[in-house]
Amino acid sequence: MRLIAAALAGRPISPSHTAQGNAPTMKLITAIIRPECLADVKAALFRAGVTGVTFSRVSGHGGEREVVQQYRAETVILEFHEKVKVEMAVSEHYVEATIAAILSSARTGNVGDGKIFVQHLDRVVRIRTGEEDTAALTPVTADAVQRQAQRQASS
Amino acid sequence: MTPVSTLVAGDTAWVLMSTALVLVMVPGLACFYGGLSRNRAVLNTMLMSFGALAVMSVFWVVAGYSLAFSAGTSWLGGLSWAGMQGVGVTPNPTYSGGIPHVLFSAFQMMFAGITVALISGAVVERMRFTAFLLFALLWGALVYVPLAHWVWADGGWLRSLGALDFAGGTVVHISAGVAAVVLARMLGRRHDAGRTAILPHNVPLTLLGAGILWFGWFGFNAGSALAADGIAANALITTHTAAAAGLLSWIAVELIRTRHATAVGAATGAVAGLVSITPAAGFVSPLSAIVIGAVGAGCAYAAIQLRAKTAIDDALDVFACHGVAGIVGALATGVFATKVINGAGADGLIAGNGRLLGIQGIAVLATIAFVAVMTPVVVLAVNAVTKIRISLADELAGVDTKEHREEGYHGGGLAEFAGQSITLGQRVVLPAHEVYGQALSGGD
Repeated sequence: MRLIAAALAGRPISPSHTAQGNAPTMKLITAIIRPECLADVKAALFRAGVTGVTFSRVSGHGGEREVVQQYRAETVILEFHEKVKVEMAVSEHYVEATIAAILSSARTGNVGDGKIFVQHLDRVVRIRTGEEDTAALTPVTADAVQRQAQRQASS
Repeated sequence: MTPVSTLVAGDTAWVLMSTALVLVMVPGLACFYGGLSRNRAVLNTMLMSFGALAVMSVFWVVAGYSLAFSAGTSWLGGLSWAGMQGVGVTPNPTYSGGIPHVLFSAFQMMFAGITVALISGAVVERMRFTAFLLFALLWGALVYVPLAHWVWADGGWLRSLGALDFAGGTVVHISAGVAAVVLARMLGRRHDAGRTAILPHNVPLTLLGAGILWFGWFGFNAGSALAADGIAANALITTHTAAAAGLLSWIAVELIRTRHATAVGAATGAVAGLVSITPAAGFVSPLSAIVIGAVGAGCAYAAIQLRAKTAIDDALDVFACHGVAGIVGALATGVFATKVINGAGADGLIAGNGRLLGIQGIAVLATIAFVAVMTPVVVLAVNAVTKIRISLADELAGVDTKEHREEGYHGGGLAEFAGQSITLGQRVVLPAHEVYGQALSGGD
């Protein structure tokens, strides 16, 4: 269905959906969350095994009430709200777990909890090694890399 | 007059200390104003206070003190003390009972500096720095010095009339407030004033500045007793009480009108309370100080709300905080002054002498009229020499980068994203791509 929709929309069809067929499927998950939920979201993502995360401070407009501030004679209506954008590139079988982790940690039930966007990823390259796609998405810690280097040096 | 005066160590120590306390008000004011300005103008805003102090201090030694305090007419002093000639280390019987004459002059020097610094709050984000320095010099010479002579000098006409101004309500605060509104009017509004909300960029800095001003004001007012005595002690407690009452008065009005007390409001209320007690500090009781501080801050609050509806961009509301609160204080002195507190003072309205209130009114009106007439003359003179306003393009880019080629805060932690380039030698700054281009073509 997605293939047909993409074709109808005139978008280029990503390599993971071409005739190669067995190419790995990867997703870019972008979530907009409340700043006060950041600590909980981080913990939930780490528990779900998602450790490659990028956070940015953003501001945006949703359905929330405007904040009103007063400075001397100046009354200000702040129409944008401070949010945190969370970006994660994950392989297909992590998608549901990631979404569940964010839903469980970022929801307060009030307007302004944010959104989760899931997009296809065409290609991923790890800059350090040149590894691509799923191999590039497999989490590697600096400690593990260091241990491996020490093992190689001693053998 | 009896020329017999001996130096009193205690008095001298206190006025030495007070001189330093008044000096500290200048960086305090710089912080107060700097926090209220936008981040791209914080350096220019703070530097105007320091610049005004420096200009007035040098001028004071060269000619200012002499023109303000040496013997002359009832309108202006002479030049007999120019260059501090004859201003010695022994007491001058006319001005400095128990302290060195040169110390009295230094104490007055700080007042001249802070007065011109106060004006700078009206013109932030749009005045050329060199033009402001020239304005400071000319305004100090043509407006501050004559006023100081009228009110404080032996033979000055307002002093002879019997007007009371303990520490500079008319000379410092009303004059700075009126000059501020005139200068702001002549300079024009900031390009986006009235169209966008212009907010304080650092409220903690403003609170720190208000605290330093409050601290320094003890020297400003209690030091004006020029002695370590009961009058100084009374001035200290009235000063502090009025500041506290001003703070409470301001946030009480806020709580009634908007249901929230603000930090900027509390800081502003305290300063307005300090301004309003300044002319009265050595003449009224601490209980009267509560009323004076509270009314002064309340009137300043109303003045700020009204100013915001006008086209005059007195950016940091110097007229409301210093002009209006200063007028309240000068008139309140005529109401609350009593000889029970200070025998050398006078009785006011409540003590049964309505005439003092009339004299205070004359002093206020004379100050306003004189400053309102002379300030435009000074501005036009400055404008004839050098442009007073920065260009619109410079205003959009920010007065700090354009006037001073420096910034209070550099963008982000990533220097590359802030466009930071490479410095060659001590002076030449080239964009990075030009440096790399030179390297590729084999250098120069």
